[in-house]
Amino acid sequence: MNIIETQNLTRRFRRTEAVHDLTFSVPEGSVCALLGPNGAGKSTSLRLLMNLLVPTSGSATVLGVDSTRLGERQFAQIGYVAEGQQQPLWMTVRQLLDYCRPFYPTWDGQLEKRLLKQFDLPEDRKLKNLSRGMLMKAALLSSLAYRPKLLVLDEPFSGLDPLVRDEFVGGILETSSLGEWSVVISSHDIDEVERLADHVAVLDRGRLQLSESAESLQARFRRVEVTLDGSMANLTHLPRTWLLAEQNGGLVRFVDTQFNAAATEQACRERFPEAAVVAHPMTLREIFVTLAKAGRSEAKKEAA
Amino acid sequence: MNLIWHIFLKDVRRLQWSILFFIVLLVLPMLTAVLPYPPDGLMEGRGAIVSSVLEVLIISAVSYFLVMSIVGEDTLTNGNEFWRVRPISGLRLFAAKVLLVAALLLVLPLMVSLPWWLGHGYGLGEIGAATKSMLMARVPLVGIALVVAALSGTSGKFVGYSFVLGLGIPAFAAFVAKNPFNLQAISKDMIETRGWVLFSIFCLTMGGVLLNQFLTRRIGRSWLMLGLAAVSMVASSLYWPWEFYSYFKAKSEAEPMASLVVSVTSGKQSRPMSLVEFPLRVAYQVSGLPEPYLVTLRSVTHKIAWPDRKIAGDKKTNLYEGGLTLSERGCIQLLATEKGDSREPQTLTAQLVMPDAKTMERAIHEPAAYHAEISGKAWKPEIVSELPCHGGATSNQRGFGVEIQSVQLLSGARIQVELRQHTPEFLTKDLPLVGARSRVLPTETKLSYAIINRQRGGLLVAAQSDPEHVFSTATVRRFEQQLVFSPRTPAEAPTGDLAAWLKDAVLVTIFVREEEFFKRILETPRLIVTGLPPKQPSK
Repeated sequence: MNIIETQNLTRRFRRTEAVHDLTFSVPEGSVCALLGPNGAGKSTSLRLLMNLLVPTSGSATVLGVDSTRLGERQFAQIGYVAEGQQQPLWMTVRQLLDYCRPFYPTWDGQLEKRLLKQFDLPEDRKLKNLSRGMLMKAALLSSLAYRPKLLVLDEPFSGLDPLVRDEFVGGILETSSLGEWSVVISSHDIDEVERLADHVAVLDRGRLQLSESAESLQARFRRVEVTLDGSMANLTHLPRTWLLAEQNGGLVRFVDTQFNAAATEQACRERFPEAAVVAHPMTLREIFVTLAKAGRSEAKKEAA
Repeated sequence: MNLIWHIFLKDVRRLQWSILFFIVLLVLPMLTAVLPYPPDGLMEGRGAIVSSVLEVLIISAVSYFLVMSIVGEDTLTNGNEFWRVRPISGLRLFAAKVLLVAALLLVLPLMVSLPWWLGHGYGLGEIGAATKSMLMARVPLVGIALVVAALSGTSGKFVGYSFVLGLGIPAFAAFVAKNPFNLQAISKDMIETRGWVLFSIFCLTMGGVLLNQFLTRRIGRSWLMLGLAAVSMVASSLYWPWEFYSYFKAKSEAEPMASLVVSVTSGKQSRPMSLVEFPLRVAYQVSGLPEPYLVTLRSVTHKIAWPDRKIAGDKKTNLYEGGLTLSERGCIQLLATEKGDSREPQTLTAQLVMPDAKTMERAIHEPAAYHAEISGKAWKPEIVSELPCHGGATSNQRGFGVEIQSVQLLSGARIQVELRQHTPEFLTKDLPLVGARSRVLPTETKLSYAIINRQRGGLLVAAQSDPEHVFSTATVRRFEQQLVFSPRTPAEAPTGDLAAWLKDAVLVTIFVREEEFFKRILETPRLIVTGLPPKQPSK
């Protein structure tokens, strides 16, 4: 079952189309990373999912409910932490927790205490006096203590120093072991997300580039190096699944987005008969960068 | 309900200092009200001014911005707001905010005033009336502030929108009043009808916007509603076709004739009511006349303005032989302006022709029945007068600030009446004397002041002449025992031969509709009427 499903979700801001025809789903229990460069439409997508924005067209369901009808019953099961989200800064950490607690029937006092200790948050300090990292942790704590079925994190790492990032990610990882939940995390910081995500969706200029499990993605993408026998290769008419093909001397490199050892080798042999073919696994970051570069290259071609 | 209360308490905690400041502002006028009188009675007037300024300006402004603080604590226009992704429904938030606004800006002022009311012996009915008056004064302000705050995400926008609204409403009123599309052709009832239509559209839109903002937070829809309302209001003010005001007016209870300056006679023989010996401008407004009734003016230069304004402008007409027959139900406005030598007596007479001889007979010989009869026919006559009179005020006082029973009308002065209200506030009203009757009156002539309305729990006082046939002697006598006139300062006290000032005494009467209320006024020790400085009569 999918905890989030979108169907042709589109949002325009006057002439700018922030999200275009977004169709993807997040399986229940997965940690989904929504990746994309700045301005890709990640935050807008999440805000659409959280009913903070109304779609121009298309629809989305969250926890089985139309996103535009999300109400208090659904938000009692959703935790949302966003970089720009306003917090009641006049409250102390303790007051924030005291204020939030009655709204959530599933609030776990023990978990609250444990997270408070783990995050090392000063209870009596006002939120406005907390550092950025501390503030994010306080927001995360107030969104975790009721064991939400869905945790949505929008750029949670931006502005955090590496140490705090580690703590933050550690907090999520540790808490994720506490129960059945789903996480959607948007970020352009792939290294951090890679430790968390088991499902990946990539957005670029408001369009979905891909959405699948991280395992499948990493199995599907390979950086292929073809060592030629000295002759020049013809890099035209390559398969569309080969991205960023380039030749450097006797070496041809490309990224195969539908890697299959036998099929890829066969395709290489047809084009480079005497060459040696080596395929390297790719990290999420490398896949992301590949897709981003390919997207830009495509855009340039379209513009031309 | 628990969660509503939870949000309520959170806002109280957040705004605790603002609330405390507001409470201080509320209590401050009470302190001025309970201070003892100084010997010359000056404190009463100063207290009134302090109270009024505090109430009208500061408290209103603070109330207005407090609403913004309450709503702005969880704004409705900002998608990043904390509460938006928490299990807090718009309805619950709305309830919490309205509860706090009502508690703070409506209930709290009442609670602060309650000891004052009880201390002055007000009964339940009066407290109810005072509460109603106070709410009537505050609810519109609070309501508008709620709507503006619901549309404003920031204080800057709140101030901006308030500014636009503050300018927009008068601009709209001026636009309508300027009458760019031939408004002359419509009757007064139609004007009233359109006024109610505009009021209804305004209230419905404000309510709709408020609910829309809290329940859906679709601000675009709210602006659309406001835009449609603005267009509808402009269109309705110009083109609304169905008149319904007269229907409701006819059904409504008749207003008593608080002031009536038409003589009652039969046929075309009019009887002068009194003489006018000084420059005079009197506007009579007689509304709700059934069709066959006739109103006649005589011997005056007058300006007649029909409700539909078909006849307008100055006329110098001798109306001995005729009158103005009303061709339709509604009001007739007769504005009479004396011309020529003001030292010469001018006669101003209005004539009322009854539909049958029997009614007329009763009207002439049984004033009480006349009153009842007219009231029963939904008469609503009232004087709208603006008279520079050659009168003045002094008294047969027995000391400063003590009770006196009559005043003398002298040239170049006016009477100012200050009445203590239910609320610890004052209503100060300058009362020009009624010109038609306020010449140098014979000793036996009486001038009365009729309370024709209550404002904010207080009394709006209008003047009326010759009330003998309307008000009972007993009422007048009781009033005489209670009313207090006093000069403002000892220096303003009459000097010389006091008896010379008192040769033309005038009785002052206060009249209210509800007997119980009247009794309460009589028993209220704070009720004062202050005369302005008496001056030497010109020789």
